[in-house]
Amino acid sequence: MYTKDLVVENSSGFHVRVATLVCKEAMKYDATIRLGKDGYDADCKSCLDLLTLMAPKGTTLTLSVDGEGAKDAFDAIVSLFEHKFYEDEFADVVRA
Amino acid sequence: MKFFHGIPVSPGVEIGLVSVVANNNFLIRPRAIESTQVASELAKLDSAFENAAETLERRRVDASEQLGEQYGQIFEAHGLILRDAKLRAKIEKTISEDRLCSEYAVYQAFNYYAKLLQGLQDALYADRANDVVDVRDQLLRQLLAVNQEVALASESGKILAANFLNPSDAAKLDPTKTIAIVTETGGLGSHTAIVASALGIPTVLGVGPFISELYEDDLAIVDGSAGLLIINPDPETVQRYQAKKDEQERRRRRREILREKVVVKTTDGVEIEVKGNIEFPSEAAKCVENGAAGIGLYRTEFLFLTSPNNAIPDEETHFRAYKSVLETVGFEQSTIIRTFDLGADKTPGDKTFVEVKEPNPFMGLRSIRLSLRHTEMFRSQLRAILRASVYGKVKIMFPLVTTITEWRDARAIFMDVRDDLLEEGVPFDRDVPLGVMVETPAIVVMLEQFAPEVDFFSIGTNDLLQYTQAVDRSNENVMSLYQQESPALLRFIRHTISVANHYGKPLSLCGQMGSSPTCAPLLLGLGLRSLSVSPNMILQTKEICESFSMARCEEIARKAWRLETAADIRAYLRSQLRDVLGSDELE
Repeated sequence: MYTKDLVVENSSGFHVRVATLVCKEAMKYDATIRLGKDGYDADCKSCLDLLTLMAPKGTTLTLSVDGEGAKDAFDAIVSLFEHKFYEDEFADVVRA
Repeated sequence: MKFFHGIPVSPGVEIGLVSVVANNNFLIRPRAIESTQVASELAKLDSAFENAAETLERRRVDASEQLGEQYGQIFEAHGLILRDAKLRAKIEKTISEDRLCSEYAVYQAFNYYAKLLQGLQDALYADRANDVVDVRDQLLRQLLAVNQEVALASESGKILAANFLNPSDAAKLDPTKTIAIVTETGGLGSHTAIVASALGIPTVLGVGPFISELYEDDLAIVDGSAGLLIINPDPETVQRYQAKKDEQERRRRRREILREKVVVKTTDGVEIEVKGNIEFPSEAAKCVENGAAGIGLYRTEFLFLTSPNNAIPDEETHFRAYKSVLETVGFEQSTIIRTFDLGADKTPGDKTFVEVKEPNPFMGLRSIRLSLRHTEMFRSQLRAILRASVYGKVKIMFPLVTTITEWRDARAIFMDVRDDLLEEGVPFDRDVPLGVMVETPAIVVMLEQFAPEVDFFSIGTNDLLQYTQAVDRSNENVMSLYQQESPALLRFIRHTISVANHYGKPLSLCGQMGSSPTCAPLLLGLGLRSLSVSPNMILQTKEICESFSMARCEEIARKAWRLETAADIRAYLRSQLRDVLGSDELE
């Protein structure tokens, strides 16, 4: 079992796009992947479950991964957090 | 006659009979089942999920092909909801443990999540609640074997009036049959709005309660530009809107014809090139479709900004993008690739570039300055362009050049890259022309120094205006100084045209100003013969070129030249365009 506390650092928080991204990534693995907040553990393979976490920027979520291929799955999810979910900071780019 | 105001999401006027779809909700009641029925209810559920998944996948493929990749993604999100294991478990539990019918189990489980999302007090989440409801209804249709599909209920040649419209129902609408859409709920950010506008059906959403005011086959007017619904209009109003509609139809036909025409001419026979500005390779097809005379500006920095982790794109990534654009455009027309215009407001996330936070980024390390600093990145871009040059007619353009030294340094790197490829025996076009953007006062006034060495020029009015007026266009305190009709800018443009003509160098203009319908005749009158505009402005710009004589354009330019302020020039230009464009198109 791998666990780690992760802080949501992208500006829009754990939003719809982010939930979809995490869910798609989680579905690639057999391991059980959970993100918890305030005693509630959301199943990362359920995007609806993830959506209901409601975690704005600055929230700490606890990642716990267990089962087959847990290490890879753990690294993949941690990496998404570290890259701030590749949030498109250029959505409002003023076009030249 | 009754007027209702809603949210305009897709422009155009339509007058017609309404087809009312009261689809407020499915009425699903909990029905108890016997323990012996559990297995068959679960089997029914299985096949409903399977069918819904197939339908969704089909819709995703259709939407991607017909409307574009990003529209397909909407349905990919629906697929994720449908495959949600937790949701599925909840439904199955209701059937097997609570012994309730499958349609109620589905209804309950989806509503649970929809309500949860709605309760999150956030517009984005609320919009996703609509998606949850959409997927729910797909399943319910399967389970109840009812055809409540809005698309089928909407009769040919009528206005579709509904309580709400799901994005998937919207995607199924046939724009040749459904003439307009009007709904009680929904907004600008909804997927329905995006789909309706992509289909080009005049649409007003979020009107509020009106269905009860309406009977099947009532006459109505939908003005998708103004966000207006008029129920049972009086004859006078119908006449007024009919005139609007006729005008819109005439314009549409004129533009259809223009689509085929690559060479457009003013009424007195002067040829004008209308090219397209693109950011993504996929937009090249749109330019070709609209009969553009090539790509006047391919903004490659978006390759950078959209790369997965904002990493520096490698040569292959560059190459693939350029190859795809060049193959689409071909050899008949040219494609001008502008090297990275990064920095200022377009900052890459890659840490390599974020050296110090610049207090004044528009005056800082951006565009060609950045490329000349990070030569490895610059070289791989140039290599990729040259390698792709066998697939189409390519030209390379450097942004924000302010001194002759910068130009020569950039050219030296290009020559070096060229030598490498020659040595390696890689095939490429040996005669790729090199040009520079004219977007700072410095290059305008020194243009004669550049003209003998540079193959072509392109005026970037956005930056040129910003640096000329010394105004940050994103700062609302000074934004009023950022006006395209600036008399100073006109003089810079005129000077650039004279020098380019004197040296016989091709010149185009690719800034926002070229896309402005009011400015186009002025620019032609000043002597420009090539405009590069956003893909969706190509037809309109061609139409304007074909509506004016060069003699009149020159008259407009002479008159505008003598006016004192940007506001005066703007007002004058608008008055000149009134007879060519509809009032809704005059911005």
